[in-house]
Amino acid sequence: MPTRLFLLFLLLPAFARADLQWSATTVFTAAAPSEGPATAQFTFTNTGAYPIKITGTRTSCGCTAAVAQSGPVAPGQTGKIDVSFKTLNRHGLYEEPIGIETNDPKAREATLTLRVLVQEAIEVLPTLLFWQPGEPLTPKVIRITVTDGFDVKSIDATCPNPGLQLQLDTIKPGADYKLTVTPKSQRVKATISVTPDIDGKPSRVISAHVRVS
Amino acid sequence: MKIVLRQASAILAIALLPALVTGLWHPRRPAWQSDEVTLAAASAWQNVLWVDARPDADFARAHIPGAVSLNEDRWDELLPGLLDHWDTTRKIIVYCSSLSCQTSHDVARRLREEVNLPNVFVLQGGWEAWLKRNHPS
Repeated sequence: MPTRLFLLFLLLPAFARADLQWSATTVFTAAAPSEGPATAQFTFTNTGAYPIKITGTRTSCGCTAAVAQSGPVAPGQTGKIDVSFKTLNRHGLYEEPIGIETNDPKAREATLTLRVLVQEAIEVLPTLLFWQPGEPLTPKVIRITVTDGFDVKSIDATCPNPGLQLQLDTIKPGADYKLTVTPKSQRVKATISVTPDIDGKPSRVISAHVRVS
Repeated sequence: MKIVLRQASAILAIALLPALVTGLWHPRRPAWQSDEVTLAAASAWQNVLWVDARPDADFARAHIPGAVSLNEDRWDELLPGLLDHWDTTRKIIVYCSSLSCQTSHDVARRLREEVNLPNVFVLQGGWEAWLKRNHPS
């Protein structure tokens, strides 16, 4: 008898399965800020006997928007949730939780995850060069790496501040560059603009900052 | 009683293996060390630079005294302002609206990885935690 109870206990979760089945609860997408917002779609199937309706969606910031298909989804039918994520000014890997509320009595709530990798045409690291008070004004280096999939012909680096000396070296054309920065005085506050040339057109400018204090 | 204990041990043993695999190799395993700091712990720190990662309108309405605004919608415009207030002796604590928001973690990650700033933390509970402590209602 105890063994049967034990087995029943292990099998209980299988019977509690929700009627709304998601094809995937995590969706990954990659996007460049120049391409506009990243978009993704979550789909689900109503495996129950009654219509199911998405009654609400929740996102964790104004950068993510989720729009559910309006109206109930009949048994056996599929529904979808369209999600978009603002990529402008963003960089790196983002994980955005999306809360879903339904009228499915077996699972009123679900959490979906949108994973977005936002990549510029080039990666500039670091975006701050800092010389501490009294530190010798020896050159420091910013690495510029072209992201896979972008056809960068050349790189341009400029700074209107005459207190900086810049030297841009090509390590591997279209892939790797090195920007050497040397301050000329003990107090400099400047911004360097790094612009990739993609297919003969200047692309979005990436800023790097210099502080000598 | 012995049977119950034996079965409970069996369930624990069965659960241990996937838990170990998840904890060691899963790409989204929980971090052993968190970058979060509680308000109580942060209050004891000297020379803190508070960074408000909420949208402009929220910052304009109210913010932690002395905080600078750095949200990702205007990252390029706002970052120089933060750098003007920063020096190597200051600890940075980023906050957003509440426990559930992710923005403060994203801003903190970028300050560490892109800007290469040391000592960047996230306020646990965010602005809500600060309000609760300073203006309890």
